[in-house]
Amino acid sequence: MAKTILAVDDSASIRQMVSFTLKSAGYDVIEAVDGMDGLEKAKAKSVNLVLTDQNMPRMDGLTLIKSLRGTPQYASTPILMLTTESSDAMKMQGRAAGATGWLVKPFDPQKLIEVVRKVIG
Amino acid sequence: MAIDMSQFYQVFFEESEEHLAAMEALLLDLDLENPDMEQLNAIFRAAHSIKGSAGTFGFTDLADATHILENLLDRIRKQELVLRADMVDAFLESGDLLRAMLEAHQGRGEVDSQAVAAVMARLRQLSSDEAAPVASLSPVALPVDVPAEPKIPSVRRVFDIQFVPTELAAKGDAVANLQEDLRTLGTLEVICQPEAELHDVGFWQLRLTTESLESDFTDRIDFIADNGAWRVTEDKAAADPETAFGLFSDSPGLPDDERGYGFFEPVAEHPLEEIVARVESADDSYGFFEPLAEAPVPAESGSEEGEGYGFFAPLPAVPAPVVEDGEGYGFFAPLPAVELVTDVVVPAQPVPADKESAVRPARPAKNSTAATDSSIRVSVEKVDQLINLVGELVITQAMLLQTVTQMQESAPERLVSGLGQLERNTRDLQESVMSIRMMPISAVFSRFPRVVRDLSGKLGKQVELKTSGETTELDKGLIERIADPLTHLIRNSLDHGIESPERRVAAGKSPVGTITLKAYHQGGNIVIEVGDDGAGLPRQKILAKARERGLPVSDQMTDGEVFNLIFEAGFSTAEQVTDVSGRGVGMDVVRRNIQAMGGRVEIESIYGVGTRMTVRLPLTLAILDGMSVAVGNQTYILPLSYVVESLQPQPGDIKTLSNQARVMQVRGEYLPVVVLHEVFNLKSSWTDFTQGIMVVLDADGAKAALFVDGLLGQHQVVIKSLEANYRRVAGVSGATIMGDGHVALILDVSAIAGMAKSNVQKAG
Repeated sequence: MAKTILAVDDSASIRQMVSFTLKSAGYDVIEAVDGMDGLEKAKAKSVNLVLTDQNMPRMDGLTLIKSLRGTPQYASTPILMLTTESSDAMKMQGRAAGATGWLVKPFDPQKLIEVVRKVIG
Repeated sequence: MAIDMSQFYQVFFEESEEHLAAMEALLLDLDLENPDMEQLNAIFRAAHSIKGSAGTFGFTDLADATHILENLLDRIRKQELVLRADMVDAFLESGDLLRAMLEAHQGRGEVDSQAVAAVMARLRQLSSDEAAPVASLSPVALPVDVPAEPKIPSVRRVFDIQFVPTELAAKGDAVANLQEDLRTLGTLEVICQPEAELHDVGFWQLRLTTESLESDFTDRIDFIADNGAWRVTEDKAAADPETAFGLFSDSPGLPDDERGYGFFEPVAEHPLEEIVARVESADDSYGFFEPLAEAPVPAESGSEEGEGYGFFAPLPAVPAPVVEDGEGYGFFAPLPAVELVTDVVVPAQPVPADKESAVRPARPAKNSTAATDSSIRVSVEKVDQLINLVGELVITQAMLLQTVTQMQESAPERLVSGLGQLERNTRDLQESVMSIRMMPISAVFSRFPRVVRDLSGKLGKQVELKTSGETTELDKGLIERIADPLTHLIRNSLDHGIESPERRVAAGKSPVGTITLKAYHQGGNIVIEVGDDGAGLPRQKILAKARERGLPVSDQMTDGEVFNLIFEAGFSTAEQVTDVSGRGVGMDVVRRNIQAMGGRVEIESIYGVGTRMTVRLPLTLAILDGMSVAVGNQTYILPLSYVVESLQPQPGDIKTLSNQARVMQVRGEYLPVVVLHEVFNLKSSWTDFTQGIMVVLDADGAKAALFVDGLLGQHQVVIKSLEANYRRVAGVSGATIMGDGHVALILDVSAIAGMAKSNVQKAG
């Protein structure tokens, strides 16, 4: 059974690219438009990996990661945050929130697949 | 697997347009005295989103420009900088520039690189705290040194710079100077340089690792390069390899280390930094991977398998957490004979309470653009296809109904009631399909605050714009076409209507003029009003001007007739020609464009009090309320909006002028007569006018009486283009398919009324 990835990003074009890329690589993808939407979708269906952007309306990435880590269902699911900021401060916050890792935007599709493969095979 | 990124461009373009529009609306809405944090956040996010996507899809110019903008917005948002009016101006200008860049990428128009450099320089200048407000844009890229802002996360980029210097430059110190200049921006490597005996003339290749943008140094290279023989390419893969991605060493969700999880496998061709796992002291359970060295090391010393990462060795004694439902855990099935490595879940460390990095979940902004939860993008072609199919369905249904009606008594009752049901269903279906193409007029209205702001500044007038009814919906096609005429009407109000503050005060008015923009539905039409409380239209001046231009006018003309003169070609009431609403586009073009949409425009004005222009449009171009008329064995459709009345002529109502042109007297008015069977060369059932019907038509003040055999009824008809399916025919605007399957032509009333008028004038 294909692994399911939840991609959370408020940019439609990035969502489309991520989704297309991951589907091409054989994963199932669920898209969410912001943290709130992502949280609802993650609760509705268990996913094997969450990719989330940081800056989003309604709920940002860090809050989403914290909220997911707060549920037993997602206590140890890999969560990667996509961030345009490669600053250590942002990483520390991501780590403190419970992120598994980070991926700096902009990234190319190959890089995305490479990272996802590393994390969930 | 290569992925063609270009397939995502269209969505990116649309999305960026939306972000820019939202940003502009938010900027115009900002209260400088007390800026709303939510709005500032939303503005920042818009710039941030454009930057992120632009970078991903390789539009570096956009990414670079938004990067500067974003930094500045970020600092304002964090209250490190105070928002000033000149900043808002610069932001608005940047928005225009980004829009131009987007359009250029879509093959529309060119981007003025001078303007780009100027706006960027201005933004940089603004981001230095002590920056004096820049009064005007000089088209010179100012080499402003941006103070290092440690708080702003900057992106390290790697540029490959190739150039061939001019002989003159090479003989001097230019190349050496350039290198020195570049070193101030970051680390510079000379990859390739000409042989020593060539004295620097020849091919140079440098590699610059910097946090600056390409635009910061390209002009210097261009300056010394021989006839544009230079190229700068950004090497994305080489930039920040150590932080392109990473995993936190002991966070939830890590794969177990038997998966041969190696960090950063060397990417072909790119030197990678040696990554060393630095395990922090045990009490501080952070395990960031940090690059040891800043300088790239040669590729051959790529990280070895198993060395590029460092998990905190899990304690064997840690029991594996009980898996409850087998899903939702990021475990990998343990390989045989491999001890399962459990994730060590670290309790989240409290983040140091740092004002800078406090995470506040963003609440939805007032007019958040990202509310896409429950909407999908569908191409207009698909919708149009759907509309066409529903149109066919309506026709088929009408045909069945007609057949059954002809059977009269012999039709089974259930068939009749079933068809009645079908009629209701198809109507509902048609309505809801039509509504898919409907958009709120705010799509057009949203551009006007900016138009008014810029223009009133330029003219030295004070104007407040009030809008209402922004949610009124009309067809997407009309939205796109009404934007220009409306813009022109607003410019006209600003330019000719609203007086200067001094004049207004002298006239006892408030110095601030008001332009009201209103939209509402009325019957099957949408009505858009552009009103102003300005000077009003000067009747005498218009008449004088009309006489000057040799138009047939008299003092007995009604106000409405006089005001309509401003829609005549080349008519301008401004005392001096300004470049605002003049621009070679007159009100005549506005009227023509509105009429081409099946709409009308009317003027009301009271001198000294104000003017109101009212535009009426059909809600959609696809359906028409029509009256069907019979001529001989043919059926024609008249758009209902032009029909004033129908009457049976009495003997003596019709008079023939000297050249066979006929007029008919209706309520004391003489109207030119158009005999439809003569126009289309048909055999009419009647030769005597008193036996047929006269339909009085009014096309924007041009009236005519149309003689037909009889009236058949009123229908909503689906408009089909005659031009697309056959060719253009004078006097016909389109065609439709009637319930019995026959084609009926839809008459172009304006053209027919025009024919009649010119016939009568020749006779006059």
